[in-house]
Amino acid sequence: MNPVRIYAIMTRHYFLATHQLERFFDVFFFPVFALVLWGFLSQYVQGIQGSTLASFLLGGIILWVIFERVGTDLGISFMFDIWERNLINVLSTPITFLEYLSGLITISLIKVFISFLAMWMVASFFYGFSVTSLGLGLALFGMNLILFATAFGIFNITMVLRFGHSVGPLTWILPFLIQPFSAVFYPVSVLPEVFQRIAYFLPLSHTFEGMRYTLNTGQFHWNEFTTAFLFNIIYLTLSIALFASVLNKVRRSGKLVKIV
Amino acid sequence: MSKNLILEVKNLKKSFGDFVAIDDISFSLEEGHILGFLGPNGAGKSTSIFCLLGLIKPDAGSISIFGKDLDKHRSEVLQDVNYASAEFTLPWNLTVWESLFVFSKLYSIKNSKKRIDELLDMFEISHLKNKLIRELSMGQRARGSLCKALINNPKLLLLDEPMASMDPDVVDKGIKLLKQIQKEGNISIVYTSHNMWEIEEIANNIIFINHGTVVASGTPLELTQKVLKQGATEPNLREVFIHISRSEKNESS
Repeated sequence: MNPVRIYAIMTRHYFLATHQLERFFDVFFFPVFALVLWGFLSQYVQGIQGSTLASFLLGGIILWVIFERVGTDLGISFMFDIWERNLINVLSTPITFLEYLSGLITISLIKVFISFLAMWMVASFFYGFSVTSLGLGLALFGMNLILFATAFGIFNITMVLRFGHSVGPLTWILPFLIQPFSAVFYPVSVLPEVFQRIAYFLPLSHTFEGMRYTLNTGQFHWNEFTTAFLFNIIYLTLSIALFASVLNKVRRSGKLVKIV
Repeated sequence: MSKNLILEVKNLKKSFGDFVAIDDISFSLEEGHILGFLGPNGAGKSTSIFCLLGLIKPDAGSISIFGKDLDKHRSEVLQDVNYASAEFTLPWNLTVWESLFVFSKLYSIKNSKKRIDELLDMFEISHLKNKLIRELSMGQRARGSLCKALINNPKLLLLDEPMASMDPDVVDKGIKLLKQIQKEGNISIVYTSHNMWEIEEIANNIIFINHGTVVASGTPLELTQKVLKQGATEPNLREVFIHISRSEKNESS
């Protein structure tokens, strides 16, 4: 792994963000807008149900944005290289795909950190909710969300490599397809039984259940954390293996040079 | 490997389903030489170049660059190789300077700012350095791509129709500049083009490929003598191209 080449990929996307207003919006506007929307809802339910449900909603949206931003940003950054017909230029340099992915992941983490700070400030200032009340749990929940988002993003990139950029929209559609099973704003127990079985296999549902447990009791739910972490390791391993296999396949079939 | 052999391709084969793109081609390139790669559309030129970059995996055969097997040492070998094609531009939403900076880091260039300034001066596009790539004309973009191709002082340069979108005046300047840079840096080049004048001007040796096989090879003059007229004293690659393409078509029909 050559850190200078990883830095090159990060710089490329930093420069892109300075010229593309929508990339700037991805980091600030959408996360804050989502929070404002759910913040008003939480204020409304606070009057009816008390502060616990309101904090579940606000905690849910903040942690969801961490997953959704990292997961989609990886795929979108990859597609920018396709849309700009630049992928072949990049891949004809000494960079390895692992370095390329590491660059994309690192810049996504920086962006989501900025989004998180913006949401944290808005939630504290306007809604009196401090996500740091999750304590150490916040870092552990964040880690699980980022691991799953990385596996998810690599899966999206793999699909684009395999089927071309016509499947690119899956990058921002898929998070919303798994959201109902992820128990972001409600407990898994309210789901029908068949959906509960699907939810069990999603690290997201264990993370959000853990978040609610912590907000409710002030304790950390190690079982939920460990289950989510183990699933993340499995999904990350599978996504990297699938990516390596598809990369080999598209190099053989010649599709790698055709997707640009 | 011979002492100054930069590139050695042996029995390269590549098929995509039933379509045979490269059918057992072999060629080599000596240090400081320029190999012209000629052939009609779909002959297998770009596929061969993508194989040389490791972006397409051949079905059979071997590619050795600087005496090293490309498949096993791809990243190390590509440190001293570069590529340009009019088909693939620099990132549209970055400025010329930003694009070159990113590529300088992809090649781990230490004094990248100085190198970028040198190249922008060389290709007379210093005044465009803060322009977005998408705001440039096709010819200006192609010059930007050539700056990128030289950013790492490559020992081997793979140029796939690099001047396809330039006007004759710019092509003439570009070819002269490229020859000068090639001479000064002793760079080895594989150069494909449909412009026969470009190839005549720049190439020491030529291989003509069609349907994935090498149908003729030699210097521009040798090729003219072999294909057209034994007593020819001037190269005429345009006629050679037409002759080979049409005779191949007639044979296949």
